[in-house]
Amino acid sequence: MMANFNLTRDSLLGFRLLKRHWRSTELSTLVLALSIAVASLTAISLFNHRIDFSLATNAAEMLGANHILKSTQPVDDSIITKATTLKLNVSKSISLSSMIVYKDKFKLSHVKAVDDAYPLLGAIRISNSLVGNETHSPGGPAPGNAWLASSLMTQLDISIGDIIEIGNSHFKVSQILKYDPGETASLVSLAPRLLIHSSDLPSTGLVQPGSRVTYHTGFSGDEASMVQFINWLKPRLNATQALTGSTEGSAAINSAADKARQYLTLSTMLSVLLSGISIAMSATHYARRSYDQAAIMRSIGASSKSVITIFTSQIIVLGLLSSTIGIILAYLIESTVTSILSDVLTLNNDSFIIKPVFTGYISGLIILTAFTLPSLLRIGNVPPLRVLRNELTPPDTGIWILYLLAIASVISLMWWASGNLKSTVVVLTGIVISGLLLSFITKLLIYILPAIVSLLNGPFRQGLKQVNRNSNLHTLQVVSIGFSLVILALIYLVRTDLIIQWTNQLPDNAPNHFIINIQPSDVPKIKDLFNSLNINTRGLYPMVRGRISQINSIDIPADRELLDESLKRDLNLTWLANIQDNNRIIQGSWFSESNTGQYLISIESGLARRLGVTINDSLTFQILNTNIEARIKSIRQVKWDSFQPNFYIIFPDEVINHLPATYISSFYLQPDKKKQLSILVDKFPSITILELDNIMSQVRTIMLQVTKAIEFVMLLLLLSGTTVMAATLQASLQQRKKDAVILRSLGTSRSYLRNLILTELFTVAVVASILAIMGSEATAYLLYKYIFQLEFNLHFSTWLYMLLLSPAVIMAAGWLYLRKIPDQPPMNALRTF
Amino acid sequence: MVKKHSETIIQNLNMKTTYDSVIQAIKVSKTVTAISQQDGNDINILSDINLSVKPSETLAILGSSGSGKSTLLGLLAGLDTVTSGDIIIDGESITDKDEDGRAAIRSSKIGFIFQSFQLINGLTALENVLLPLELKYRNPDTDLAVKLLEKTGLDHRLHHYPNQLSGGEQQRVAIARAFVCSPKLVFADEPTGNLDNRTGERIIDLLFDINTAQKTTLVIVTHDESLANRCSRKLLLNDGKLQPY
Repeated sequence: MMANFNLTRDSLLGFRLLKRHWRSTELSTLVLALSIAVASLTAISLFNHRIDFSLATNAAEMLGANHILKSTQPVDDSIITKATTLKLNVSKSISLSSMIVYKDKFKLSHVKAVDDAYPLLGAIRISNSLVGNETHSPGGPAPGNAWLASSLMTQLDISIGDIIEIGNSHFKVSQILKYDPGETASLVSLAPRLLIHSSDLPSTGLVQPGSRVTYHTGFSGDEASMVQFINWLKPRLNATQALTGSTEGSAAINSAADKARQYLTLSTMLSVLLSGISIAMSATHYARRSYDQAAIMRSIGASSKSVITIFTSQIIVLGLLSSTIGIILAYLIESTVTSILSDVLTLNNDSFIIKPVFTGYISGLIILTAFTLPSLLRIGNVPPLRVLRNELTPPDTGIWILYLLAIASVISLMWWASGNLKSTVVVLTGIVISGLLLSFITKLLIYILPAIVSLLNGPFRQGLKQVNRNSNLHTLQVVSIGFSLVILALIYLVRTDLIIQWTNQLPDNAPNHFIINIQPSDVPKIKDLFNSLNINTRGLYPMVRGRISQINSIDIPADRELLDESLKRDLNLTWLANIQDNNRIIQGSWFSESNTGQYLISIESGLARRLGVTINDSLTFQILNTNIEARIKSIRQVKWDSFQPNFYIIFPDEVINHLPATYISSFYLQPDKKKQLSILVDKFPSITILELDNIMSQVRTIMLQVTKAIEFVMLLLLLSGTTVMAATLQASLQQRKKDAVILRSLGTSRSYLRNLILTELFTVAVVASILAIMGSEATAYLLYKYIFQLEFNLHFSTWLYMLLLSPAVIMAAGWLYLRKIPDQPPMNALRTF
Repeated sequence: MVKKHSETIIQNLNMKTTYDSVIQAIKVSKTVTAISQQDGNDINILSDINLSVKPSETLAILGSSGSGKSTLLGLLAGLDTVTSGDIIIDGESITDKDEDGRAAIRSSKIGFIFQSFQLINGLTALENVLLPLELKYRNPDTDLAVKLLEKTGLDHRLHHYPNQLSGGEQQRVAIARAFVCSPKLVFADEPTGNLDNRTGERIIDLLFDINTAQKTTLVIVTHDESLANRCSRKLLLNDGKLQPY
């Protein structure tokens, strides 16, 4: 006789049974766990998408376009035609350095002539007085007008309405230029600037054959067309052209945005992991609770396939339903949060973004399938004899392979969701170390528990005995609660340390001005002036311009066009006795006193990597007509986002001191004291002051955005983690409930029972917390070292929170669940099992 | 341990196959492996059991606790496999069938009543009774289940869940479920074991009433003599062997 399997009939029966079982606790826990898992995963993915958009929009607005093509020659028409064909917007601007003249004063400035389309994205911010309100202008100045940076206004003492000379033309100063998109993209371009209309440029006579002119062509448009255009353009670029995307902004902004993205990536991965644990716990619990049902079905004639089909159809419906609930929840949470944060976040208005929904759905279903498959197959093999002998469980031969597959699928999902292999590997290594720690030490503790038990009395003794008796159950509990705590602690630790780092990096009094071209003879006078004006500088550093001419005594090819950017231009070299605060030696050692006068250098790590040099290699510098060869003694990591003078190459004292040098410094000046700049310029006409307020305000905005974003993501993950713990507890509390009822029926007192349960929960929670502390610190160490480049310190205050909070929460949750047992007649309670 | 095919065994024993039996056990033995070495080697629970039950016969198998009654019931009903020997249900050997093959036979020919009722907690009384029909048909006949429940006196309890029913009521649901597919054979494992005397008697009455009406063969495993006395034949399981009682 054929086994009585019918796919349609059995699936329909599965749906009907699901409908009938709807009110059962196991089902609601599974639905809740899965919904929250999908909700947090989708909300985080959705939010990351929006933050990414926000950062990209910000970056594009800062650049004034999605991409800028910079070249020393006018751009070929074919490029413009291609862009127009793809319906991209194009703007052209030309920039050059020129003296501007006002009355009898001259000042070298950065002139930018812009067309009517400029800027393609973002807005120019202007004001009609130095301290007045800014207004946003969608376009540049009209012909005949010039907009000047406030530093130029103060340095040349110009007022609105004054006429200035640029080359052969005269311009009326009609606005003060407060912010020009693109100015924050690179500190190199931070010379005081002014804007004119491009139609005025020919009459100035500034563009002559051989003049140093940079042509900027901006492109913007929808993402797909931009990608198509950039892919078309890149292979066609010649040596005089360079393409800058909006994602390649300044070091400070990139660093903040990158760290934020890394955090969001981490949060996505941890969210996948948490969802995996949560669903695995609930699904396994659900499957175990279903063994009895399966045995009854099999005893009355259901085939193995029928049983598998019935439960699989239920799981599929549950998966789809919970994922849908999760996604709706995610949208509700996300839209609420984004509306709360709308004043700090630039968010796109798309109400429905397909990718995060897809990610949420697929991830939920994959995790659910992966972790329920082993249990489902076991359900199919439940021996029907279980109806007579309840202790019989289905065989688990070969199931471990399925669990390995489940783990592999979660790892793949983490990789897919994060799109970052390195982060995935680092997080997994940390988690595996935590897992090994958790399992090994838990087993060890349970082994030594009898010795502790013998020292105790009453319910405490009984409680610890329980832990010892059900060692496998308790190991599983400690490991899963411990894992959840590791993840929660990690997300909290990284967030806290990132915010601390950002706050330290950009304190309120971070330098907002650079001062360059200080003549050595002016150094003592400038120091005195700073003292008298009560301005704190971050030191005055000598700066010698030099070009690398040889690496290990081998000449750099004459045709430098294809070489690294650092080989094409002069580098700023300095000499220092002591290393700067924001530099860190990562290889070799800093100069000792005996190195004074020796031909040694300390090189920045990025430059060393690009040039392919390491300790003891030598570099030759051409400084004016002198060649100086020096050996690399150390490699430094430099925080370029620190708003302080930084150098690629540092010599020890007494090596290049004899060469012509100027000095550089940075300082903080309150906005209402900007007038003091004119005092500086008046006394030292040769100096150039660069204002960093705009770039700093952009960095601050981004930091504020990402801080808010990660706070929100952390909250979501905390919620998700709490449900994992609730699911874990529920699974184990069911057994405890039964034990408690039996003890109650044997006459155990209410207080004895309470102490017994609490002792057991306390032991589990404390052990899990201690292990979670070790696991989270180990994982944090790896993350800080390899991903976030943060300084690692042990987090003692977090240890305290975890040790106090988690046992309290777990004991409270456990007690809430079990509190009614002592009040119920044992017979009633027993009938519920 | 090699399972021999029934025909071979029958030939060897020179026995005449009684195909008018609904269930037949031929030289059935069950041995389990000892949990630890200290317990010795294998333990023989049942050895060389021969049994034949005719259609509509009611058979009680008595025996003390631990005598192997439930093991025998599990084997006869195809819930478990024999170590040696053969079991034939309605002319068809189940010994060489795999679990799904035995499930198909259980589905078409066998009903069960258990000491601990074995109802599914998340389902109402009516849904529990409907379950065997639903496992067989896409559109089961709900009226049939309702009528059977009415017959058991539970017409006012159709939509109650097991934990809202008394032990006696739960066993009535189990009886209705056992008979709902009109099986040829119903196995009952200590059906009154969890009930008080009075309720137990009512359950026995109900069981026999429906059994008579459906002309089902009934095999009851019990140590309750009053229940055994209601059956047309009684056997005693002692030391792993069946003997007349």
